[in-house]
Amino acid sequence: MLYGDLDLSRHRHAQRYRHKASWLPQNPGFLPGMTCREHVAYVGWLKGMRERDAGKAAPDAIERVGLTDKLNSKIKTLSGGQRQRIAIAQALVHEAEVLLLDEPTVGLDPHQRRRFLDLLASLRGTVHAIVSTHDIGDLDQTFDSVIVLASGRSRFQGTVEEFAGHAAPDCAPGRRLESAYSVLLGAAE
Amino acid sequence: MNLTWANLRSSAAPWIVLPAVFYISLYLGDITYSVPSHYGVESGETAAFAMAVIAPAAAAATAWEAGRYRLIGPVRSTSTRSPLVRFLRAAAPALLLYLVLAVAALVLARHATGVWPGGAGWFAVAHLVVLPLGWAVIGWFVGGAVPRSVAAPVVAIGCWGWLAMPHAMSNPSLRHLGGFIDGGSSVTDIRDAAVYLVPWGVVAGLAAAAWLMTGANRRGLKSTLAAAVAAATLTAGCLAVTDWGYRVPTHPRVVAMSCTGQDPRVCVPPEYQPYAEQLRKEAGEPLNRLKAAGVPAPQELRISSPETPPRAGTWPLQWSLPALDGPSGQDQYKTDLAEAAVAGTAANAGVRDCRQPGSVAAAWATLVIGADARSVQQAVSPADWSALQQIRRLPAEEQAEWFERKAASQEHCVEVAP
Repeated sequence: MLYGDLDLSRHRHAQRYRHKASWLPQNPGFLPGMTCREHVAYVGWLKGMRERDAGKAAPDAIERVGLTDKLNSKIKTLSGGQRQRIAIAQALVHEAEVLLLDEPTVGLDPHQRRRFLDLLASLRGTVHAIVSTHDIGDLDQTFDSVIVLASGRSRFQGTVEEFAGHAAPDCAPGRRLESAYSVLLGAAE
Repeated sequence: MNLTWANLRSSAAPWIVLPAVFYISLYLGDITYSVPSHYGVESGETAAFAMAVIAPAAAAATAWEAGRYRLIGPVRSTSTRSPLVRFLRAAAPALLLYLVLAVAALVLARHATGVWPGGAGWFAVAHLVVLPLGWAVIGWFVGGAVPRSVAAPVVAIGCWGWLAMPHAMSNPSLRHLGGFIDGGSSVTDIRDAAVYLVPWGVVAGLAAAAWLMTGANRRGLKSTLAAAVAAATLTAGCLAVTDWGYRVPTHPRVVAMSCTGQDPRVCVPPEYQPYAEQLRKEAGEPLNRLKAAGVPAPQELRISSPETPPRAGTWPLQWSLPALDGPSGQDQYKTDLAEAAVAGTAANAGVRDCRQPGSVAAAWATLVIGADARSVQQAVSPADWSALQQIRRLPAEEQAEWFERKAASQEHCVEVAP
């Protein structure tokens, strides 16, 4: 597997790749007892930043996700959506080039989901985000490209518009994306 | 912002400090019997007794920290930092706890002995560092695999059990593997280095087994390897100590003795120098009584290792510092001189005394010196006391000949299991 000129099978390249990439799992974990700032700075250190630099960068990363007022709050006091945003902040602190987000909106209410997607949109141009999701509702114009995978094989790759274009002609308004998904998978079967 | 401070502030490790220091102070106080010895080796070894508290505490605290950091999961596994650096950062609160407790043990030992560790005592201090560190590593691996609320008490209890339980078992080898060392060095004999090196090897092997056992991939194979490593470690350890018996091996201490006076000259290790003149003066009357009874007076009284045979004319003296609760009675010194008379008389006859106390000859010498007869009677069997009374009725010259014969015969020596 290659990332740019980095061959991830080689240990040294893998180390450099880990600095450039950040992975947000479906259920991100946090260090018990730490504040948002401390946790984000610690993750920055884990990603290779000097401790002092990580400490300085953490407030900026937290500000970018709109949680400046929670800077010195313990993570356990945050809501689910706020924790997802802190997880984004820990990815931003070390200026990752690419974010790998696994089911980032699971468990979020519609308001929290909207704020999260708006946050992703605000990151456009500064970082590449690859989002893995089973929720069609996550798709919107925020994303440049959609890939549909089934049984490990790509069934579609293109823009959101092109994806929606696969919807059945008689599908209900507002359900075009779901219809397109069903059509593509049905064609695969 | 300091990450170590943030880690320490959010950690549970600092809560253990006060109760652990309190427990260490009780424990070290319980093993302190005499006035300060000013003996650097004893200082280090006294501090090392705190191992029984520090190792379980370090293991449990590290297991707890490992459990905390397990919670951030993928962030750790995708770190650019090396596993060692991540361990040092994550386990910093536990390692600081361990450092604080070790320093506390050294300070308490300094208070008990009057000196900081010195000479071979530093080996004991190294033991205080290495062994809890090994258990901290084991705690780290276990805490990384098992929920911390389970891992922490399991490793603490397991560590304490491994250190303490073998001393209650009949198998003599197991007690030497854990690292909690029974019996300290004396002013004349020092523990061998192997006493420390064997437990270091054992804990390293157990740490390797824990690392294999808790590895994420290929669990079946690694578990088998872990069991093999643990078994090999314990087997090798038992083989290494198979001829030690219940006591740890020692070797005579090489040190310049401090000598004072003449007839007799009294030579003691430098730590006992303040007591040398007192020992010489208090030996005067007892030695005169023995001389009057026909036992030649020694040229020298010497506190030396039982491994070092005395020269002719030298009586090896076994003497201990005064107890904390007050000086021992004069009878104890009289008993010590009587035992020295037996060993010295044997040496004059070219025989190496076994240095086992409680012989009939020593009881005779104790009575001659003027100790309380009732205490002597209580220390010997009725048959020996009866025989002693008959000997005491003999002419002085015959009594002296009897004493010399008894001392040289070594009949009082019994085979002792090592």
